[in-house]
Amino acid sequence: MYCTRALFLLLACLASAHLSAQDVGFWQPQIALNYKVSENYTHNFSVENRNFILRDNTAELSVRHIDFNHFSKWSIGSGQSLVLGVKYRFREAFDGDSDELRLTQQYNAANRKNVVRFGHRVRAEQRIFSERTIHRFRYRFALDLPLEGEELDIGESYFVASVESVSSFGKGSKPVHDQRFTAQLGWKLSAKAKLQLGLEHRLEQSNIAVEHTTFLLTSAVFSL
Amino acid sequence: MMARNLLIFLLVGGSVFGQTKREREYRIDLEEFPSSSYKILQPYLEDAKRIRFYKEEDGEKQSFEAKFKKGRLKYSVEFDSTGQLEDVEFIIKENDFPSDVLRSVEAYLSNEFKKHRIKKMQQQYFNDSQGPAKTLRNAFQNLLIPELRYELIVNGRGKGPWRSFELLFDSEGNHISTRTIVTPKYDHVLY
Repeated sequence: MYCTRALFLLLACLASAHLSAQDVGFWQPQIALNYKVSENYTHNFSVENRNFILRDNTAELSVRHIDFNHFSKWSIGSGQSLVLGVKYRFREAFDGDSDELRLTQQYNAANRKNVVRFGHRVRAEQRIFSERTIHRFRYRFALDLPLEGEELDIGESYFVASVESVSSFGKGSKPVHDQRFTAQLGWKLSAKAKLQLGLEHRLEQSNIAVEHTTFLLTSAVFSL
Repeated sequence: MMARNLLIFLLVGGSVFGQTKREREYRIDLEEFPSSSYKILQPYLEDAKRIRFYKEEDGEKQSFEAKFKKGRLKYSVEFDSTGQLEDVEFIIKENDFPSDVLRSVEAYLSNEFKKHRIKKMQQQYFNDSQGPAKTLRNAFQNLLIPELRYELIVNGRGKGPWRSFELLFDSEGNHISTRTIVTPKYDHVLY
């Protein structure tokens, strides 16, 4: 428990400070399920939604969209994997904007150095809306580590942080570049269940007119 | 109907949150570390950096570990619940192996795996008949004695998929044992 309480308080303070300084803040809860299909092949299913909690300096709670996701992962080497994913975003029913079908292709390589695990993730996405398609490319560097020993045991906490660059290209529109910064605290409740709580800050359209957006992230991750 | 649904929910929830044997390793303060063990170890902590203490619980078995960096080596000294020295380990690199021992180890790995990658190598001194004082002296003087062991953590692929293994070799590079390691899950970070 050396760092957990301190990190939790820091995240809570950052969340409060960030959200009060933003025009827009979101709360994004997620529930995810992972299971092995075979030795090399695993499935991930998740449901997440995004809710406005702050808009134009006014607190509110309204749904922006709901996502249903699936990823299929093939382990191809020591700490390496290839993933294909599909997402359907229901948005039109909530704020009138187009629903989205998203196809994802992902490569990941993770390596553990002493206690800290480092991961590189590269993604290509095709975001298909009713009247346009956007191609997006992402690179994320992440690190995670246990906070109460050198291995993550049941009942112990862990920390995950990442920085991601996102570039979007669409016909008839300027390329858009975003930067995302994420920090999360997690708890391993059992061999099969983890809870995570964190913050994500995005610098959106950083190459045009930067917009700051903050997300409060809550996740329940189950691994069967 | 309601009672049946509740029972199903409890059974499913129980299978997700239930646990049988619990293994746990966590950091502790010096005050929680056995004083008799610390007394044996203290002379070797001079000039040591990043000294940390851990307690490991594996069902009914408990052990204590001190980890620190001294010189260029990272040491781990383990004691049982009564404070008796169990073993001393330190991380080494390929050029710390005697060349004939390394050749023997590499030959075994090449024969055993289609592809492999050595993630970690440790030199081990077990506290057997020599007693804790001599075991510690041998370890901290890095003596190449017949009783020492080499422990390797290897990611390897044989006929099956990539896995992590812990392999033990004797002082001459002869294979003693292999154990499959369960690697920590990454699904909470990956997506």
